[in-house]
Amino acid sequence: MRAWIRWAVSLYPAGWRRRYGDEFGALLEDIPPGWRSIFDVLKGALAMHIEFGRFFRIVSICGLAGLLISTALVLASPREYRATAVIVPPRQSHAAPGALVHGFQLAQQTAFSRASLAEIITRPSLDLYRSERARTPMFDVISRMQRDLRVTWREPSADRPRSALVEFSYPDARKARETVAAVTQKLVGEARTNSSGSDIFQFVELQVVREHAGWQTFLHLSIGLLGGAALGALIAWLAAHSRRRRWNIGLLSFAGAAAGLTVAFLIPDQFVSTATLRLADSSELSEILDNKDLAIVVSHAHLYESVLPEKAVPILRRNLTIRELPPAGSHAYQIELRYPDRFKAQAALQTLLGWKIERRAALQPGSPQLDEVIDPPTLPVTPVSPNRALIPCTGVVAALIGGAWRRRSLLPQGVPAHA
Amino acid sequence: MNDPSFLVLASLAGGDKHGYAMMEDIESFAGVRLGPGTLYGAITRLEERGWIRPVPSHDRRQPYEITALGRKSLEEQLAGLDAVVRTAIRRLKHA
Repeated sequence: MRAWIRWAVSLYPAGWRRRYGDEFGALLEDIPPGWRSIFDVLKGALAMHIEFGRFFRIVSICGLAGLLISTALVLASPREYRATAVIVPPRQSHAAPGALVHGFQLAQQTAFSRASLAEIITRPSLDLYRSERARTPMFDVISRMQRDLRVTWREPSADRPRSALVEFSYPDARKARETVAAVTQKLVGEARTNSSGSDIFQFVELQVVREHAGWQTFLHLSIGLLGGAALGALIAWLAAHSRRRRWNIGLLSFAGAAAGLTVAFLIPDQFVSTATLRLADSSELSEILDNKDLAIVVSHAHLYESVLPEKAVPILRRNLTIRELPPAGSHAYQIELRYPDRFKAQAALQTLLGWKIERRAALQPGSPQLDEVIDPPTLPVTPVSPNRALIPCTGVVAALIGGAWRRRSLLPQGVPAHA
Repeated sequence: MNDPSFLVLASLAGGDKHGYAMMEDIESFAGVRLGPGTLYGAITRLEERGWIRPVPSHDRRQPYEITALGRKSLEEQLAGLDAVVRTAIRRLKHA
């Protein structure tokens, strides 16, 4: 119990403890310890900080600064409009529901491919993401559009038939509407191509609504306020418990930032090249990961030259990711290769896919090409890791927390004497 | 009436005391047990205003005395309270 009281006393401002700490400690030794005394001491510490300490001023200022920054960011972000379109199967369709969904998702693979979306983005009448295209590679812009596009398959209910809902969010209402119309036409067109012609989806309804920020705005503002207050509390606590406070906080922040920057630049960049492929059947997937094929890729693309050849193939396999795309059973796969050199990443993936397709043609001469490259291997421009902005910030926060922990552990037992 | 600063001044008006003695004295005449944090919060404010000051002592238990300024402030507060008490008693008698 006395340990809790001593801890509560340590929360008083340093200046107050220098003046009253000794006699206060003598009083605390005279009274019987109890939870009421502890809470009363805590209340007293809070009062002394508010009246005489800088703690709450720093926390208030930092919290207010965080709130102002988050408010500015919220106001600066553009309003979004959400355009939606509904696609329904024909009334006279005899296909099973599962087959309809399957056919629709197959159409989605082609309609949402990078080439297809790039064509929509660069249409003169749409000219989507103009400012983003000026400063980021097209691959990232297409990824952004894939995130802003949503397709949801809705089962029938009392007030609506089975349908697919296509949604697209964009700051311009006209462009949002025209984009969703263009995407929907591509989906319907691809579905017609894939089907026997009897099951043709119909584009039914189109509307645009303005999206309300609602709870997201509240969340962003709360994060700004609480984050600023938390950082202010950390800085104020360090200031209150260190004699050479400015020097310590500045040194800790600099040390943390320096360590973070060093780590960030020592970690090599990692680029990811991506390709989308549709295979004739899923058994071919294991052929892609065959050791002999991967060894050829390592040799042709000059990968992992500083590593022994027998260790290079397992490393390549670890950095190769294959993900099946919906619908299940469509044999469409997205293949990603992560490598520090972006040119080699693309070259390696091109070698892998090209070698596989050539070998199939050699084994089955004269047979129609059943494999399809939906999206060829990309040449990445921006590394996916490390995050060189986040690592130094993490270093600063970690250094401040470490300093606070170290300072806390150095506080003497009992009521501290004059510092 | 239960304001800690007022109670501390009233306690010191009867002579120099350290913290624990103030707590005991206040409990005896006012029936209020001040916590250590509350008591030293009041002591801090009163010393800052110049109404009390520490008495030189070799003991860790630091005694305080009321200053002339503190006495004047206490008299003013009591005069105000006295007016309230008299008015309330008179009105109760006539009610």
